[in-house]
Amino acid sequence: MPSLEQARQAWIKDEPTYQALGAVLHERLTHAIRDLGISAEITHRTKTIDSLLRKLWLKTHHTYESLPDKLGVRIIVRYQHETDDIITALRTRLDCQDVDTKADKFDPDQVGYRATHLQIRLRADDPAAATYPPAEYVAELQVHTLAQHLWADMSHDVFYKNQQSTDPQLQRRVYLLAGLIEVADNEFSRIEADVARMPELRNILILRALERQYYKLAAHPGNPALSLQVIQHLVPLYGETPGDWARRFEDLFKDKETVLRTVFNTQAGRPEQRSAFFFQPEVLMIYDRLLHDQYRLREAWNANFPEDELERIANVFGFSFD
Amino acid sequence: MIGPDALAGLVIKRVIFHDVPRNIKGQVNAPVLSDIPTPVDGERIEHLKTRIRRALSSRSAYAIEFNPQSPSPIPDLIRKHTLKTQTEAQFVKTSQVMATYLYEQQVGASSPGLLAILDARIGTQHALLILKLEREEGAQLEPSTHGKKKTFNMSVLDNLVLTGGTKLFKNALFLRTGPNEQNFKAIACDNQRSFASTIAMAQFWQKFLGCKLREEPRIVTKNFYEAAVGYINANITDPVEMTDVYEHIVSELKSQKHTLSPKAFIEDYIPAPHRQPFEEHLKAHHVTLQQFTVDTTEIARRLKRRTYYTTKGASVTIPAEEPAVQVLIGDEQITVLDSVETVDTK
Repeated sequence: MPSLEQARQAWIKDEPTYQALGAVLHERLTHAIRDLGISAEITHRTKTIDSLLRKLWLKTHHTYESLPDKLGVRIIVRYQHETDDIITALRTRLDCQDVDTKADKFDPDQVGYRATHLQIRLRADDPAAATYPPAEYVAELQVHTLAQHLWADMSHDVFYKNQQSTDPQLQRRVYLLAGLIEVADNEFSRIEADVARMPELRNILILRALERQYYKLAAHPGNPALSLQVIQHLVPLYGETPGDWARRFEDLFKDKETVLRTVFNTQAGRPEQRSAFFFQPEVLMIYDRLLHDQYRLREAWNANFPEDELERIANVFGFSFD
Repeated sequence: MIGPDALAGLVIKRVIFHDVPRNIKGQVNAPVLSDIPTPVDGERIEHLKTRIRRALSSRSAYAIEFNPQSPSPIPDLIRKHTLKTQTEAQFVKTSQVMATYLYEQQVGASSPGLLAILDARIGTQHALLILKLEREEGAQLEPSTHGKKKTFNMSVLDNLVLTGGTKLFKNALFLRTGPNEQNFKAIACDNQRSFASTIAMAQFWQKFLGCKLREEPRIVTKNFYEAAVGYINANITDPVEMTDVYEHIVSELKSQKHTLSPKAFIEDYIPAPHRQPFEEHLKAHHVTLQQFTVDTTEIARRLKRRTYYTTKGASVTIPAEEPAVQVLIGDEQITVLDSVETVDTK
């Protein structure tokens, strides 16, 4: 068995390459998820030397070469169904193996940590595959919901204590907590699905439709309270409310994708000059009205929000109020 | 037409400034020409783009095209420059020739100013922007030197472009859309144009650029009139509102202004609920929304009105050239040979 010292020297040499691969994978994942219009937080990290050596010491079945999580990538989403959408999309962009949904391991009367773990590699036809050959370089991807992420974060502290404990009451409390996390995840998903069927929550549905396109362009989450306020004032401009808001904004995105990407990229680099209303999903609704009903938009906007902020948005999309 | 989508995607690659004084007979002066582009940071470029978009998308902007009869060298310089990617030296040379030509033209009442030439692109298409920034007479702008090369530094932008106070802002954007000489889209804006006291002053910028309006004024004026009146007749049912809008159309077309901006007309005179539909109606009838030069040659007869004022305070206004409406004047009575459609009580 190679010594820890050999592993230490190997990792000092290899770590920068894995760090660079992390950036490449981060970029591939960002694009894949943006195309889905899902709000997700993506992070990546390489193992510290300490952590790597400790793991090799504890997990004796692994060698330095076989350790799959020297590079770890994590995606955190809001809803359970989004993890499925993401994994489906990633399969077309990356080489994904060993899908390990922890929940699959549980019997009906068991609860515990639920998340999806995959081993990912660049595809052979990826332009970066020559630098990071798929046969050699692998990373571990974890896809969590926010609730699962909370559990994963806390489990290092709680779970290992539980494993060491023989106190059945303590074990029971940990399982109850895990069950609570699973219930929370299920309920968030159910509420989201129920909201979509409630016409009285029209503005929330519109916000969802906007978010679906907005997250293809930006990672910044908007302020939902402000979004709903703006939507409230702009919806009357649509006259007879279009039945399918999702289709309307999807068509806007398809029709104006080049302009939208150009403008969003430019605005991302101008935090001091851009409108405070720009990185909000409803900016797409504003753009839609600038294109189709500028006069009434200005009237409705100026009655409720600062005129200068609309003018800043209009200008970056190529419109002038002069 | 160069619309909002194109302006949103404008990328500026290089900027150069030349100080062009007024060319006064008998006085020895000359333009101060930069030898290299001005080093500009990203933030200032974005400010500059904001100002350009505000001008070229404004109600004062108008579509232009090269005038084959023009003696100006500018069209050929633009054609050559935008044919392929140019070196910095070629860009500097082109801009210097433009500045020298501006100096030659800048006689009489023309204001001195800074000529800014911007090497740009929209998507993959080459573009060139020409801006003239007016400055106060006597104000000196000192170039700085980089190595042995002379140029204006970024403070020029801060003082003249980035402050909101630069009102007199002439600019033009030429976008190359193909390899042929005529494959261009071009748009210009000249805030002095509407208020110029003479036609020559109003046309100074176009003449310098070697361009003319893309649409013939007498045709676009006629199209605007017909589309606007058509909209009123078909869509405005309230007689007071209808008469009001009609009077504004006639009044604008007969005013002393050289130009009319449909966008401004809509904002100023069209009732709020009709603004967007009116704009859509103009678009559907291929009427430009950009500013155009008014020429009422084709519709002069239709614009003429004759009003009869009676001794007891009545007034009757009729289209002067409308043969179907006859007014008979007697000693004690006035008779209008027409039928009443609506009655308006004010």
